[in-house]
Amino acid sequence: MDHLAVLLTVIPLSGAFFVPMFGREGDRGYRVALGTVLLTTACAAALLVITGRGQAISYYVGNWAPPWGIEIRVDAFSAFLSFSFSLVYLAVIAYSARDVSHELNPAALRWYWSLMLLLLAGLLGVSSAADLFNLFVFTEIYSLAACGIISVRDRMDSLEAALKYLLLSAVAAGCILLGISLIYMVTGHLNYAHLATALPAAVATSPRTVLAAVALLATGFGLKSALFPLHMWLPDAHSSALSPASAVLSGIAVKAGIIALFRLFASVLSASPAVVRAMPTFLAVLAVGGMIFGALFAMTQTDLKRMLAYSTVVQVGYIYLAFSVLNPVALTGAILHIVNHALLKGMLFLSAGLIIHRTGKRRIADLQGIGREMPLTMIALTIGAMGMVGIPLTNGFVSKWHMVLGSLEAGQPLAAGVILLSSLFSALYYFPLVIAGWFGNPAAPAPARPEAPPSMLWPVLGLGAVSLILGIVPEPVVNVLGEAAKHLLGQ
Amino acid sequence: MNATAEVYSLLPALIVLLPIIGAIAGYLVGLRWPTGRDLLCVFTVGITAALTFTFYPAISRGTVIVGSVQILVPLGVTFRLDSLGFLLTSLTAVIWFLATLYSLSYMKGEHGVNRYYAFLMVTFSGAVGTFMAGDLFSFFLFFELMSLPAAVLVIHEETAEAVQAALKYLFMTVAGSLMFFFSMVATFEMAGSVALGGRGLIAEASPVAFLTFAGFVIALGMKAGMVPLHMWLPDAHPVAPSPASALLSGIMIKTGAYGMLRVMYEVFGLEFLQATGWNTVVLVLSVVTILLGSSVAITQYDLKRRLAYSSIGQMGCILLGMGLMSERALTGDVFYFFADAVAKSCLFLCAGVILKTTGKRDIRQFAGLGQRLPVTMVCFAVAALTLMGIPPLNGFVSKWQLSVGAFDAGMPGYALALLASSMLNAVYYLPIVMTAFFDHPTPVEAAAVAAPPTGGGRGTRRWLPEASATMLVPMLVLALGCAVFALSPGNWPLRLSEAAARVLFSK
Repeated sequence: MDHLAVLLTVIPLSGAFFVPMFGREGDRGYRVALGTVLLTTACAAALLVITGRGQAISYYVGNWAPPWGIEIRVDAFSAFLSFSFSLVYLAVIAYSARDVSHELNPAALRWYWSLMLLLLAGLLGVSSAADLFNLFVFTEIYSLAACGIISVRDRMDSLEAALKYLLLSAVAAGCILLGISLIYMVTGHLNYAHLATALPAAVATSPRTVLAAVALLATGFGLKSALFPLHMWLPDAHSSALSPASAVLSGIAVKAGIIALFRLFASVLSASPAVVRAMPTFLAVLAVGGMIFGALFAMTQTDLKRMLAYSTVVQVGYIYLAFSVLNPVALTGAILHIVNHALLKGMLFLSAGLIIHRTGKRRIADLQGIGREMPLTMIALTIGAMGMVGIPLTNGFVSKWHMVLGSLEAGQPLAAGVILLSSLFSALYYFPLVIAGWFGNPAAPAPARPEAPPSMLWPVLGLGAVSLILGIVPEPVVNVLGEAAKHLLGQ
Repeated sequence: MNATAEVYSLLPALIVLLPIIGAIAGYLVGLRWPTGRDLLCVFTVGITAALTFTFYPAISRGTVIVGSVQILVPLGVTFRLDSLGFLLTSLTAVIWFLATLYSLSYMKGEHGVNRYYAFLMVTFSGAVGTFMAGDLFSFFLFFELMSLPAAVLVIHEETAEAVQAALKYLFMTVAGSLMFFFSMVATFEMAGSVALGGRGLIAEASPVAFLTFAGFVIALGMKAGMVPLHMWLPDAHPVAPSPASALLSGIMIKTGAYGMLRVMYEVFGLEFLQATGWNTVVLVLSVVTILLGSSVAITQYDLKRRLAYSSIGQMGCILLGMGLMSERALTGDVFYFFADAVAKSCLFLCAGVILKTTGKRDIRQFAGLGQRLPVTMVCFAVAALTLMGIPPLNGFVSKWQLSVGAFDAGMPGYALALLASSMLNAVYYLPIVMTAFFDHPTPVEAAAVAAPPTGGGRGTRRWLPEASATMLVPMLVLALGCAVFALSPGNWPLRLSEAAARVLFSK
């Protein structure tokens, strides 16, 4: 069973390899991709069942034990994230079948499937890596794949966004690599467990080097996860990509940086008191900045997908802020929010894609009365909006509840206040959209357009259903994550 | 603490669930068969109302009905129905039933009727749930279940004005619910529990406790239309269809005041507030609310806007009553919930008839309406007199108890505010009644009045010239309700109010 841990990344990696080989004709590429993601989901589900009982799987690749060999470690935290990410991926792949074939030529289409699987492999690799070097490798894999996915659509704005992303990714990769090198220099280790034991001694001898390394790592992963003020690439990249790609990039890929930082902090850096003092405060300040400025920018957007992209900047702020209070309850909320946001933002981008696919409209002002033409799409958009604001019965409420409760428990009512204020801001930019969509009067009487085809609609509604179920019966998930959060904080 | 008998029952859950099922079923039925939907909606609300009354025997013995359902989010949903909750739940159910009945003719031929009924029922579920909630968390859930769908009732006409009003309503509702959420979580954090029905959850005064109190006051005061936070109310209530306005103004804003009552007496507790004096915040704001709401009402000539401002003024009295912290004031206060709900929904239903049959909203054009719509205007007059506090009517009983309570509490100054409220009520209600009955319409208006009514059901004109029976009966019932419960011996609302006040104080 332990092989599942490594299969989690090997399956999508080999899928990415097989798509160009076998998927030359017709929709075979889609079938290979769907099959691969289904397998990955099953693998993640099995891992979740195993690790949900509280035991983590440590897998030594080729039976070489660390510090020489490579360790892959899957605990409840990474299994849960892998499972929910694969689930979102499943919806996105199913949705892509019809949407993307309109947009891309057949040659690019094959690359699209391959890149999507590569992206998944990178993301799952980041969440299960147990040493710094693998973390770096998987980070690069997913960054380059993301860059490819943005530019696969052969248009000027996509290429420009991809270039911007590529350049900033290179900066981030430089920071991460430098940080890793510095840590390796002072400790001589890359494996998390070994690092954790060696770090206190290294801090004692060369505290500044360690702090510099931490700062570099935080900068690098912060940039990857669009932490304010390093978020400039995100709105361009996520709004110009294909809608299903935006769903994955905004819903999942952004979280990889957060996961890497959580993981590093929990298993390595928390051994050093200086880091524990400095890093959360640093993150909290930037998170609040992201929540406020992201919201202000989101309010002024006229393009639906850009608005959704800025909303991601805000949500990333939520997650970092909840993390920074270092309280198990808040951390439960933060992890839950990673997943909730993946579901909700995935759904929102896919609904935006449906609207663009059927009507070609992407300006918010043009969406007046769209709910009359596409009621099911609008229902999905409404659920997404309500989840983002955190209305009860949606999953967004559950994560907000934990984040606020945790902040108060940790004696930080200010953080709780900021989280709630930011929810209000979300209402300010999501609700007018919902109201206009349902009740507005279209400028021109649109021709009778049926709803999007079921094969595109059900993935979107499926994500909505999962969001609602998580909102109504969060108990099992919260229990698993509560344990995972305590474990991450070493309690 | 008095040992109160508790009876476990899941009937409250059924009462909350039934309208939601009815909403969905009604929507689906209404796609094909509008009459079937109408019947289904009236039937569902009627059954729900009847179910609430089955609690009466137990409640009148002083028993408390409790129930819990272990679904939903961290804490589960609990119900707790005592005499206060029962009074408001049954009142809500009855008024909702009447408003649904009234909607049958009022909404005939309007657009989006299917949607209207569905959201009317969901809102109903939220409103009764709010009054039956056993802890703050359930209260919050039902409060949201009521407040958010109510936006669809506000936006019903889909005019630019309605969209603006609904957006304003939504933003303020969300802001309010976030404040409530903060305070709820803070209470949970400080007390480890959010259950209602005790003596007070929060024991010591701290800055966070005060923030919590302020959060509750802002969130619930917003819903109740307390003055600096009332801005949404005069926009949102008039643009809704009249039966929905009746419910918004008659019932839904009461949930804010009800929540405030529970928060003050059961989350913070009597002794706590008396020791800290935080209730002064509520007292001062309520006096401002009375004076400002009533004064602005005088300047409004749109009937429904005047009624909406009048609601703000009445809510001031209700908030004042709970801030006084004396048992007699509280009795009057609880009875005021009842009196105002009945009278205000009656007034809005009358306004609906006036609007539907004559198309008039401006009260300066009401000359001669007394001859044209005698039943409506008599109902209007009775309800208006109630709110002024004229003796044999409900409003007098509550105002009397409130004023005596103010003296009990050693704060006779606040009785003056109540007196001012009555006088201002007279200033803005009496001219409407006087114009309608005693002014002679100009020739043009007389011609318009003489023209046959346009609204109302087909064939009903022979015996009731003004409007169809389903519109007149609810108004008459409510007008009667304003009168018979005042000093009649079998006054169960007053007895329940007394019981409720006693329970809140004896703890």
